Amino acid sequence: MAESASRPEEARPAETRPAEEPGAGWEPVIVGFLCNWCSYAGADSAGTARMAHPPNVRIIRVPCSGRVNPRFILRAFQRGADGVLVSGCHPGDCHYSTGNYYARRRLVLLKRYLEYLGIDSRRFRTHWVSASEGQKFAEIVREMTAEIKALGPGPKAKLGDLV
Amino acid sequence: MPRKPMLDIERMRSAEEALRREARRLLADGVVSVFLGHEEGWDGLAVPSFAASPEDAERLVWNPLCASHLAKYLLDRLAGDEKVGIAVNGCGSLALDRILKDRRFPRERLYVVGIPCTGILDPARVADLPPERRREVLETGRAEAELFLDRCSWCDVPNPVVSDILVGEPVAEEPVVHEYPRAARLEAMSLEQRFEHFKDLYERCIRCFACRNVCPACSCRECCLDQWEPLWLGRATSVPEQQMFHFIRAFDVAGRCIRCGECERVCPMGLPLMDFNDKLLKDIAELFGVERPHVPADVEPLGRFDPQDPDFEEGAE
Repeated sequence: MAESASRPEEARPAETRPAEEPGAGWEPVIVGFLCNWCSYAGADSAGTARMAHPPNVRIIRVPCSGRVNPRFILRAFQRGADGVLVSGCHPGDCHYSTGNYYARRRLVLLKRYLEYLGIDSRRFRTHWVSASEGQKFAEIVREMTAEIKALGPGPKAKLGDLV
Repeated sequence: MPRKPMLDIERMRSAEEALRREARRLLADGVVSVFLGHEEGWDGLAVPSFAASPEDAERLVWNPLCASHLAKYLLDRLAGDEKVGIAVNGCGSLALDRILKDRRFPRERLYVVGIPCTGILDPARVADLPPERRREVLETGRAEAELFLDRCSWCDVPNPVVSDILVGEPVAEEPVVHEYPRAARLEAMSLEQRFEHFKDLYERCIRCFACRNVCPACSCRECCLDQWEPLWLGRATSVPEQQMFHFIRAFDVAGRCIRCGECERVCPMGLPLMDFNDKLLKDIAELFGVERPHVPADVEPLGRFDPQDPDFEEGAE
């Protein structure tokens, strides 16, 4: 793991490198906020079981899906994410008992609000993945990557640069 | 079904008399050290007034132009333990209740004079009238619905929800079916049209923070918009930063917004800021079954949950 993280950009296989311009070889960048207790472990179990899934998701480990402030998600889109995934423990299974229930309210509201602001809400997904559901995680990533590939580059192009 | 507001000038005049009397008494007896109300400002407008003596109380007014809410000024009075008097009408009491429910000011330091309300005009709309017509409206109260504040059109809280004493008889309350026309209008547009609509707003915003400063739900001790560490909001006025500013402003009060529309009223650029809040109010009502999302509750919609809430994996959109 440490070895691949320190590998220079050029040495990585082409398909894991996001191309600047859409077109041939363009790969979407998906930012994935995964909760430490279920989904991150779920992604890990997909890895240890050697399940293949597209390498487009850049994972950010958070203590709980309730930790994800909606503005993280908007910022990710502004910084060039083509899709954002938030994944946490199944309702009822939260390590902190109720964090994901609060997150669910906020994020359901956010999904509609993004669409309202002019950001295609299909680019934002929330799922519940337990530590043992590596299969499900791989499936979600496959599905989401395919969907966003079809949608094309994210809202950064029409928003312009941050500064 | 929208409500049809009707001004009752006679009622307002007697409320004004009673308000002055009450403020005079409170200040003379030393019950409160200052009384927050309105007084006449430039060009007949009503501006906030801070009466500190019984003589000051003579300046207090209550008229159809008293649009501003006073509750936010309480935050300037946090130091000390003296009591503060405040005049509120129905929607003004929602703003006050918001501050109280957010535990930003102690109830025991307040003396609330409640004014049952029959409607308030939008001062900017009245200012645009020809002088003759303007005088007529303010003297007779015969004003068309368009002259009222937007919040009067759906008001279901004419009587203050917080008060220690009422000046005037309570107004008859009618049930109102809440609609969100501002959000509905935008929802009918395409994704791209909506994006352009808001992009235009972002580009015109001068980020003066008037909308944040006036908002009764925006009362954090330290505002994330002012922080340098972490820098939630960059200082550039690029479209993404403007978008982030308006996102934070609206989403952080989601579930606590009282729908007063003061943000929009004080905007020097005349931006349709309630387009943001209206959508969040509408969705909170729809998604979480909150009938009156503008009325402060002990625990707000985003501060609680129901295990049966709409779920993405069950197809919630």
